[in-house]
Amino acid sequence: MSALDVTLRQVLEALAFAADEPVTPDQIAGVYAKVTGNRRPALADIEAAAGAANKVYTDAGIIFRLQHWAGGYCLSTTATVRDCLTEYLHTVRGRRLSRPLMETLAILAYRQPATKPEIDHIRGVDSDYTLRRLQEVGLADVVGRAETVGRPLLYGTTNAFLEEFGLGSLDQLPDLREIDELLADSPSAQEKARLILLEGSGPQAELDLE
Amino acid sequence: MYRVRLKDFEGPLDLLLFLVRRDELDVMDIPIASITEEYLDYVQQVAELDLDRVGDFLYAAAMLIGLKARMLLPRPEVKEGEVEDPRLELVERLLEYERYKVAAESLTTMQSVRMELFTRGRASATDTELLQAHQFNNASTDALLKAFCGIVSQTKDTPQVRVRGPEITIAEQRAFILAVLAGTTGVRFSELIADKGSPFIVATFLATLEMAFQGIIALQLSGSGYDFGIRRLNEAVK
Repeated sequence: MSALDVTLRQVLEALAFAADEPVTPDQIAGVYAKVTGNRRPALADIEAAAGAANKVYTDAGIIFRLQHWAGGYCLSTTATVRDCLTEYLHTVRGRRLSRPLMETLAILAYRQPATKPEIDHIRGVDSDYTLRRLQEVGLADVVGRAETVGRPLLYGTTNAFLEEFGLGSLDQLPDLREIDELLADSPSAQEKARLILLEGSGPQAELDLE
Repeated sequence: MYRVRLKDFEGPLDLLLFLVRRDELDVMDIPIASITEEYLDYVQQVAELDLDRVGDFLYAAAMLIGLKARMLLPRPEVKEGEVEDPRLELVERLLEYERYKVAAESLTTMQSVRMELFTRGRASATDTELLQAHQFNNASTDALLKAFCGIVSQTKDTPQVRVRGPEITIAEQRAFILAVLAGTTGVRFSELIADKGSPFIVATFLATLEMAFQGIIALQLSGSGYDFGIRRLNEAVK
């Protein structure tokens, strides 16, 4: 194969633009190595390339961003053009989840893999419906069976969950320990701390690029 | 004070947490008696309407009352001079629940931030296409199971012919017994029902009882206990 003269950044942009789902660094590295004949780039190289691309976009006022979601890269618009797209598509992207769904999802996200009785116990109510609903919308799924008595089903979140919430991986979820510390304080301090925590969480950092 | 309804709460823990936080109580030292009272106030609003929905709330109410009772009783010492606080488990559950409630709030914020960003894959599809593709790509085991159940339930496995048993009334059987007895002094019940199905036997037995009660016939248990004789009483006695 004739070696193509493309940069890693260009490969990354091309794949992120063309793919419907986030492209994994592994795929990007594979494609780059194959078309250029160069050695496979490391994870850090790809991260750097994405960072460089986003800096160019930001500086030039381009409304695209390379996002690191669900373990891969994809191209998204910025919040600046939100209204244009909403107007054009006649719809708001995605749906908000109801409180019961969000609660169940939060427990699932932090405790996975979790059984239904575990979730029921924490919420103090039956989670049969909410679990099924989360599965229906593709945010949760059965990930296995526990080795305990009765071998109950274990549930976890999906890649679609990470993408829906703008997370690169589960590690990027706000730390539960931070939440604990907030709760230890007085109600007013809690409110303040809650805001600080939310500002520090994943997608917000992406927004700051603008 | 503004009024909150029970349906605004996700469950008993949610309601309890609300009461504790609203009254700015110390979570580690919850006054069980007063909180139970307030809790029951809320639950009673709907308790009569929908037992299904408030089942979890009632369960927790029972737990609270049990807790209240245990607070009144002397408690065994765990270590020297230290007694176990029966409220500990409740407190732990409340705090655990609150953690995830806050976590859910931060997830909600993350989602709304993310909702402002559009990706090409999604933006290029129309709504229905998007929906279908989405469901197809994320086919969960649950969806698969549902599909299978749907297929199974659609196969026509119901019988096409319905068999109806003959209808036998007690009145008919009264006439039948009288007819049999007309030509003889007495008859065994086993002879009356020989080779008949259970509806016939049941109706005949009920007719027998009715007639015996009305003094038209007399019953006589045989030695075996598995049969009895039926004898027509004299017209004179009647």
